[in-house]
Amino acid sequence: MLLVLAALALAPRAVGLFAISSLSDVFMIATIAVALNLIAGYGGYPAFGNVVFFGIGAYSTGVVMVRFGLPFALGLAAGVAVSVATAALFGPLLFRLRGHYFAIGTLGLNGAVAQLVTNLPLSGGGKGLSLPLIGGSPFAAASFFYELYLGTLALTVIAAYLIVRGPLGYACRALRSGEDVAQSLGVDTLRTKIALWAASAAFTGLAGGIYAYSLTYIEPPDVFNLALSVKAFVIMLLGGTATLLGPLVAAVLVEGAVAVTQHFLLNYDVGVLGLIIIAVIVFAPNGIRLRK
Amino acid sequence: MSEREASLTLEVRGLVAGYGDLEILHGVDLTVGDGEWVALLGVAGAGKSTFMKALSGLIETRAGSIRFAGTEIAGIEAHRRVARGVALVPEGRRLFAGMTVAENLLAGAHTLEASKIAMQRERILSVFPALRERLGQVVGTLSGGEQQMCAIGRSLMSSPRLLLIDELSLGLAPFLVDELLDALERIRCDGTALLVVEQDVDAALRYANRAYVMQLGRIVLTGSAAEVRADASFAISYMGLSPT
Repeated sequence: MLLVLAALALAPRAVGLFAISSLSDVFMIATIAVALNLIAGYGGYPAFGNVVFFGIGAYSTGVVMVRFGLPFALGLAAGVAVSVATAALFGPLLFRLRGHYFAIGTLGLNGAVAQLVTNLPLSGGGKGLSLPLIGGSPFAAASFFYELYLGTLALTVIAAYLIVRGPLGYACRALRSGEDVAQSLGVDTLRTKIALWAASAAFTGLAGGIYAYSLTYIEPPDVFNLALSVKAFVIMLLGGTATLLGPLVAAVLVEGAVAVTQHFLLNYDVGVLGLIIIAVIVFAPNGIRLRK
Repeated sequence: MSEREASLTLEVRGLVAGYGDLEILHGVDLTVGDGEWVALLGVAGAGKSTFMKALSGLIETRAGSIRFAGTEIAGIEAHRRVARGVALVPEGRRLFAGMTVAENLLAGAHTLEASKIAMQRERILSVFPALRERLGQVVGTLSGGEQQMCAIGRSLMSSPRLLLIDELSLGLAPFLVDELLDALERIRCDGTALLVVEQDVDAALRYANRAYVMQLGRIVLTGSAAEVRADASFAISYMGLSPT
């Protein structure tokens, strides 16, 4: 695993701009999928609107950098903090719901926050928000974001590992077996769910913040885009719910298929994603099951 | 706290509970003394499991009182009741099938201080030595008796003062039930009070100090195990027969 990580860290020196950019996309969506897996896979709560934290992370980073003139690192920290605070604030309300009702509740949250951001002058409203350019050559900038995405993914996987192997992980497993069983074993189920969702929000928000600075321009339909949630769900399902490494492999497969399609059959990438969704549901409903 | 309260682990008065619009329990009174073994009998549908859920906080109490160790617990959440010393072994065991015996036991230690986990696990393994050989085994591959031992052991990991067991012998061979009863008697002798829901009358009354018979959400008979066994109305209420 460490060898793979080292090889990936050195990759920008050996590959071109297109490969760096494509791999960055893979790391980003893999981060979102691993984070989603915490609440949806391990917790059993299908947070379809989890992309809300990607948007919150992106906009928090943008607002901190543009409106307050603060550095990127503080923008990222703000993105994580606001994402976690949002999960903690809305968790007690949304976790009264289960299954598809919860899923719809998170979609509602995404829609409400997107609308709020669209109408707030602070966030640039519907016109979007332009962030400062990072400077340097395009290759240097791409390499910087590549390393940042890779580091974020590694951090997310390590954090997810520590969470699922620790006391919270046992609480999650109890939760998945049934809330009544979990409660009868002394698990504070609401607190467990909020903690899981907050962790999921933190890493999704972090990815959103990096995305905002790497793109230098964000607008609500782009960062609160449900297609991103759908893609993360497909990756999680293909990799196997409640697995740590599955989503990484699945992210490479899905993002690779989409990238190849975009390269050779421009504008058919959404169609390919649709076919992948159907194939996963029909042929691999339990995913590829890398049990780690 | 009065002397009487101190000697009672559990005191339930006028308990009313149910699901949605349906009221299942219509004012149940029941007590369990310190270190006592109490059996709760009744035919299927009598309300025994609902009563156990109400005691453990899995369903809301609509009226009445549940006092545990002298403190009212009717309004507090299920996980806080575990922390106070009330543990439930649910009907059907509800073990974590993909996890090992050791992991299942650990999952039950959620409210226990980390420094006490190893010692509590040792206590449980001394009561259920069969589990020691199976610690690394996934629970789905255990026999029914071993699964029930694991379920009881998991609930005991919180070091409860009162253990509620819903349907102890369900689906188990008689010799396994005997083994479980002996183990539970050792647990009771260690100071844990037991309230055991059981359909097998002989098994239920073998070690019980007292017993209650529930019918249609009401206690219809109570007394020592011998009194309950001897009472003519017991057969009528327990077997669901009408008096002629």
